[in-house]
Order: sequence, then structure tokens, then C-alpha cells
Amino acid sequence: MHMADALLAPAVAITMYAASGVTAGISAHKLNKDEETSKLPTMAVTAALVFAGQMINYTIPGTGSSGHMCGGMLLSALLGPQAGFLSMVVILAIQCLFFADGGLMALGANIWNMAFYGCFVGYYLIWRPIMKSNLFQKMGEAAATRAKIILASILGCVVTLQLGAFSVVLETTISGITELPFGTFVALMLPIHLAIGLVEGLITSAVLLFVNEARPELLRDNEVSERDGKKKMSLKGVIAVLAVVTLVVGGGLSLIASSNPDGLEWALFGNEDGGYAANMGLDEEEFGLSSPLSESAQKVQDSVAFLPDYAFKDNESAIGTTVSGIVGSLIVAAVVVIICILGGFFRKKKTAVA
Amino acid sequence: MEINRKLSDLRRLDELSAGTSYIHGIHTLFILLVTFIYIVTLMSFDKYDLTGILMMFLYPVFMFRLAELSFSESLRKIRYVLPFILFMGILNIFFDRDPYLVINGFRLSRGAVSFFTMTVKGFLAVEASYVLIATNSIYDICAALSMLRLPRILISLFLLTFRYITVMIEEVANMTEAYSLRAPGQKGLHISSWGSFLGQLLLRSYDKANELYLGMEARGYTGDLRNYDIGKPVLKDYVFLIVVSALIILCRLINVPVTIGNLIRR
Repeated sequence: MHMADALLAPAVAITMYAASGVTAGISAHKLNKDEETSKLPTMAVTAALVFAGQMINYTIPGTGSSGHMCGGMLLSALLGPQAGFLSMVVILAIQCLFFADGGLMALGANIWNMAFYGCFVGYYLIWRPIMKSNLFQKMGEAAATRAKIILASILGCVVTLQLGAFSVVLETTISGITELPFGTFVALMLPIHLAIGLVEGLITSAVLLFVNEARPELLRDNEVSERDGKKKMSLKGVIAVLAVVTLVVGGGLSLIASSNPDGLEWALFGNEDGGYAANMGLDEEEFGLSSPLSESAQKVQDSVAFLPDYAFKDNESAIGTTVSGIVGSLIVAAVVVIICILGGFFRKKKTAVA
Repeated sequence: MEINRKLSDLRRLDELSAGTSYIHGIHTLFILLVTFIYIVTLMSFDKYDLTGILMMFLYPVFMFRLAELSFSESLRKIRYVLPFILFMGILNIFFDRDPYLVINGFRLSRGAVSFFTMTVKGFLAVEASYVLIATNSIYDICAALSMLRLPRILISLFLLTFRYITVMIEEVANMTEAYSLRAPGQKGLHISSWGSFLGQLLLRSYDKANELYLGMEARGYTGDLRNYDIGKPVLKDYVFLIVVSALIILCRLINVPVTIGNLIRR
């Protein structure tokens, strides 16, 4: 899922850098405030472990193929979302710098697609609510914990990978560098990442189950002895289940819709049809021309074809992209702030961490 | 084996960064800035701007020469990104079939042009990042990032993780080899070992991390690793930054090949 620089427009890359940067800043601030800097060696070791763990081949039973893990859910289950996020940032930066896995300017987008969803969405909306819920009560305490770990890992990995894959499609489509239609791209990416997510979820749950057997206190929100606040949890449980259902249904719907890509494109970019036609019309006019003038004419065409009508049709696309970049940054920053407030809302009680 | 190749990649980059060329002598912060300016400029090229993007080849060519780096060695870096770029690019050829240029019946489609510019962009971006990392050590980069006022905890984590990665990769390589010797003919980890394999390593590493933390605390660690200091930039660093970024931006603003072509035609 690592994106290359070549697939992104500068405005998209900078917007994603801003979003990931704000999230990293808030996470670092939170860790400093809680004086959790003592966790630094643990964070570094876990990050290095996940990095090395990504190189292990896991044989998928019944098939000839093997799977890998990405690690966002594992890190946030072990370290908590903020520390997990920073660890993922470091892993992605090292992959990008030393192994050219993902572009330097695309790093912001990669952090968002892989670390943000895996750590924050995965933790606050999936891991924490499920681990604190009363699910599987009838199975007995130990079995219930195991079942919850499995459920949270698999659901977390599947949902966060779907979100990440969908973001890759969105970022690529907005950048307008590939010609792959939005619907087709979604239909390609989401099923592939559904399978990857399932395998990753199984690997994550296997590792977490092992940790739970050996050192249960290492896991976040794993209440080993006491189970308090059952009533309070039930409301959060309902919210979490609703959120997860919304995400899954949203993802599922987009899959169904993608079987009719034109319909989805029409729904999302209502005016693209018109723009596309104009583009074709212009093309015929300058067919066969090859002068500097025709090149600038092409630039006009591109901005007409690829920026939807609410954007800016200046032929000096720099103005348009800068404004879009700022507007996009503001929107994304607002979303980040909202999610962090939500996180604070969920995080009333301090949990014991080893 | 892939794991060992990664390890040797890391070691090789560490060796390269200890070089003494002109580029190695430039302040890391300024190479970092120039690299970002270059990649952003590269990305901002229109996807059909086949001629304009050609000028961007000059940057890696000069930088490789000045930094005394081997170009062929850097080509190995592209193996991770290239497949995806090629896949996405080839689709452009099928989806964008309008003609870009027709000369004597030879028809070059717009999709083919955008495929080419995309591949070039991907390639050049990797080469530019390679120059950055091959001429600066991880410590230099951390120091430059700290000058950019990035959160200290993130930088300390970056440095410490990097230090651990080699240890951890070696450990995983040993474990994988031991496992594969006990399970001949098996392609990867059997499902029964999925949890215990990484889990064992995790528990051991956690204990190590705790001991390390106690050791650090005993030596006066208070939440910050150390002062990152790679000196202040000097005149030649500023000259480098201004000249190189001006040239990069000039190449973006003026389509040099077309301008030269027009001059000649006149």
C-alpha cells in the first residue's frame, strides 16, 4: 500500500503531510504531557520488532501463498494509539528513506493511510470498545478475553486496511495522474485489501493471543482481574458497534456500487461527464498540433478535466492547487481535531500499563 | 535471502554516508530542503509535459557526480516502487488513447506520454531520496529534523528505532533460518507458530528494553536522548541551497528543450 511520489499531485501530498504532521504533533504532545517518554525504549524496540516482523513470511493454510503484516493494530494494542502512531511514523520513514519503499513526498499520505487508520481508528473505534465490552461473557473470563482479542484484531485490521486502501484510491484519483476510473480502482483495491486484512488480522491476533497468555498486562485495555463500569461501557459499546457497522456497510456499499463504476462516478463527480466531453471536443480541435501554444492549451484542458467544478479552472493551476491545498488542510486538520476530541471522550479513565 | 539483503542495504548506506565528497560536506538541513524542493517540483510537472521533465534528469546526474556515488548501485533501490508505478502507468495507455502527437502516420497516444512521465517521475524521486540518504548519516538527518523543530520524542524514537532495527533484523534472520532448517520444504511460518514466533521475540525484547531503560536512567536520562548538533550552516551551504533550488525552479518555469528548439528554428 506504499504510495510512490509519481502517483501524487503536490497539493495532495502536502495536504496529507499537514494532516499526518498535525496528528504526530498532537501525539507527541500527549505523550510528553502524560510523561510517557519513559516508554521510549519500549516504543523503539517494538517498532524495530514490527519492522523486522514484516519480513517474515506467514504461510496461509490451504493456499500456496504467504502473507505479511503491517503492524498498526499490533502497535496500538501494545503501546496505545499515540505511541503506536509515532512508532508507525518512524517505521514508514525508515522504509521510505533506506529502502525506497514509498516516496519521500508521499510519506505524509502513507502515514495517514497506514498509521492513522491502524492506530487511531483501529484503537478508539475497534480495539478499546471491544476489549471493554461485555461480549462473549457466557464463555468464561479467559475464553471471552481470547475471543475479544481475535474479534478486535481481525475486525480492526480489515476495517483499517479498507479505509487505507480507499484513501489510496481517493488520493490517486484527486491527484489525477492515473487514468484508472475511480470505480474500477476501488473495485480493484478493496477486495485485495479485504484478503490482506483478514490474513493480517489473523497474524495480529495470533501474536496478541500469545502475549495475552504469557504477559497479559502488556496488552492495552486488557482488564485482567476486575471488570468495572459495565453500565458505562454498554453505551460506548453501542456507539462502537454502530461506527463499525457504518464503516463496513460504507465499504460494502462502495464495493457493490463499483460493479457499476459509471454510476458511482456520476454520483461523485456529477460534472465530470460534461468536463470529459469538453476535453474530447478540445482534443479534436488541436489534433495534430505540436507547438508550445498547444502545450499550454493542454494544460487548460487538464485543469478543466481533472478539477471538479467547485475547484479552480485557472490555467495557472498553481493558484488553484494552493487554495485547494489550504482548504484541504483545514478540513483534514478539523477532522483530526474532532477525532482527538472523540478520543479524549473515550479516554476518561486511565488504564494500567506495564 | 531478503532479510539479509535489507541488512546489507542498511550497512552499505551507512558506509556511503561517511564519504568526504563536496555534497557530503554540505549541511544536511540544506540537502534535505533541496531534496524536498526537487521532488515537489518534479511532482508538479504536468503529466503530459514530456519535454519539460527531461531537464529534471540534470539534478541526479550532477548530484551523483559531485557526491561520487555509483548510479548503478542506486538502481537496486527502485525495485520496491517500480512494479506499482509500471502497473498504474500501463493502465494509462489503455484508458487514455487520444493522440498526443501524429507524425507521418506515427501516432503517440496521450496515455503513452503520461506513462512515460509517470515512470520518469517515480524514478527521479527515488534517485533524489537516494542522494539524500547516501550522503547523510541517520544522525545528521535527525539533527536536521530537530533544527526544523520536529518533536524531540519523535526524533529520539527515530534514532533509537534505527539502532535497534539491525539487531532485530539479525535476530529475525537467525530465527527464520533456524525455523526453516527444522521445517524443510516449507515456504513460510506454519499457522501453529504464527503467534509464538514473533511473540517470543517480543517478550524477550520487552525485557531488554526495560533493562535498557534502567541503564539509561542510571546515566541520567530525562526523556531526551542528547543534544543534536551538526554545526551551523556556512556560506557555501546557503550558496548551494540558493543556486540549486533556483535552477530547479527555473527548469520548471521555462521549458528549456522547447525554448532551445524555438531558438534554433528561428
